[in-house]
Amino acid sequence: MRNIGKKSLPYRYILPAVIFLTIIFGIPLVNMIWYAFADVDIMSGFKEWVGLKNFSFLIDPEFRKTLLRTLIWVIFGVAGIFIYGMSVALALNKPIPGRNLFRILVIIPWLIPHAFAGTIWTWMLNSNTGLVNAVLMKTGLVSQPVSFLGEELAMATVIFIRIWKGAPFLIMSLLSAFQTIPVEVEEAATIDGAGKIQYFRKVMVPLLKPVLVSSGIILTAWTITIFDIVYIITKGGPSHATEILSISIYNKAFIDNDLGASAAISLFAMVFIIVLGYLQMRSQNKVE
Amino acid sequence: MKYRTKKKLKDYLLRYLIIAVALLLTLVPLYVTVVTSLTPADKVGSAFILPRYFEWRNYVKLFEVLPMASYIKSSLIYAFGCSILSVVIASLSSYALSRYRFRGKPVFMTALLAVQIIPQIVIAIPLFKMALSLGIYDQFGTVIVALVASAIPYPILLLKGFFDTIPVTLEEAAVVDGCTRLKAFVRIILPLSKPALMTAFALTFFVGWDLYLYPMILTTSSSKVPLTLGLSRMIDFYTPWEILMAGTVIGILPPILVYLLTQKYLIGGLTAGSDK
Repeated sequence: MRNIGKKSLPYRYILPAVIFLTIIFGIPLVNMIWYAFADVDIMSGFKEWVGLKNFSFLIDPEFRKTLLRTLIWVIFGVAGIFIYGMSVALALNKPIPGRNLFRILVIIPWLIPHAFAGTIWTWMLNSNTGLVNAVLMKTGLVSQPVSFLGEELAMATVIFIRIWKGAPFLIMSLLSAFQTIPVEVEEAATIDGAGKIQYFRKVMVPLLKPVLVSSGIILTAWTITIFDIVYIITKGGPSHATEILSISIYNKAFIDNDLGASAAISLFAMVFIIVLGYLQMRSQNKVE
Repeated sequence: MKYRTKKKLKDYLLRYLIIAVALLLTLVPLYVTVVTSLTPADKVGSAFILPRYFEWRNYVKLFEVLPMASYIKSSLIYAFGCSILSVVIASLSSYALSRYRFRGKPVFMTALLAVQIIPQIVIAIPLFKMALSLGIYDQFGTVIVALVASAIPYPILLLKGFFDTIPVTLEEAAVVDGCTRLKAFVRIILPLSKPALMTAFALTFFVGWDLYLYPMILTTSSSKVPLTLGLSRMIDFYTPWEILMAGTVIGILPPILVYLLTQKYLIGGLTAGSDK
């Protein structure tokens, strides 16, 4: 079978994908690297080499705040997705009346485009006429409408929306991973007197470790550089309250017209992505 | 025995409580969106729980104040362009990965995994410059190519996993009967792969419909603005919420529809890889 057809055949089949990936990821990544060491204008292009000048953001106290905000965003975003996603997945794991319908319904936030997750939640949390504030006021829990997108709460709000939108994918992965645990394993554990929590900690978590590690790494990588959802809801504001790395990358290029600095921050972000990618590769090789 | 049923009841209650929270968080926003889209402008904010009004004219107004037909057309071009092209390109690549051993295969596989975690925002700006200098700025095709490149790694790996489960002997028989490899692939393998192809189609359709950053940086003319971009721009201090929610209903219907139509394949397809 293997020698039917020419040797070039598999290359012809993968050629379209290779071309697409090279144009959209390969070339831009290479360009990003040299932009980081040059003065590049968004319209006129290359002006001159500037060495490490573009990396001066590293000693900028504003950038340290951006990093801190990104850290908060990633830690709470990923932890929230895991806690919420794991709870829902465990609740749906074993037969319960209505399970099939529930499984279909809880996936919905994953399908809703980021832009509309943005419009829906901005409306829900609107401080004048939104539903959440209406309920809070009616029940007397608050006397003044809560400004969910104000400076103090904006970060918490976008993290919440990120969890809402991001958890369903984890729920799906976990539900299918749960099915790989043989029924006998739980039976044996129960006979041996393991309680629910013990069973979860001592049996399920170790068995599911590969899945948990790899989804944890991927979710972290995605969360570090998410742009859409934050930009749509807050544009990084109010007064920088939600300005995370990805928003800085965008603003530097399109607001400050400083491609070099934007590329330098991108390069900085890529270091974390590459480390995560390496960890991911290693964790997958271990499984195989 | 009594102890056990009591324990089981407690277990059920806890699980239903979690499910109830999840359903509330999922369905209430959708319900409020629909109800708001049918509320007259001066009543918005006072009618949430019971659908007291049925102001379908909000939808008419939406089409009057915004170029909705153009937004929808663009979104459809992006979503179908992305999904159809992705499925074709991905099935070819997956076939090569599943049936051939060739030099560079591990590199290609690694690149697929890497692309999945390379952030769009990082490549967006060099991409914008490249599109400008190549003269392909502000074209549907450019955005679609960017979308396809971002969307295909997952379907390629998914389809490869599926093709691996189809015995090679099926094609061998066809090739012996005088079929070419490509013909054997199209006539025999593809029809057998319907669940995986549907899953790949749905996933890439979602990516194409969800797009935001690529059209924002790669296009400028209003005829190329998709629904996502056009509608979310309306969020500001004086947002006409009943109109924006009408637009949101239209914007979330297609992916939900595609999901419902393909979900019997989707759940199986997504989990196909991990069952083994």
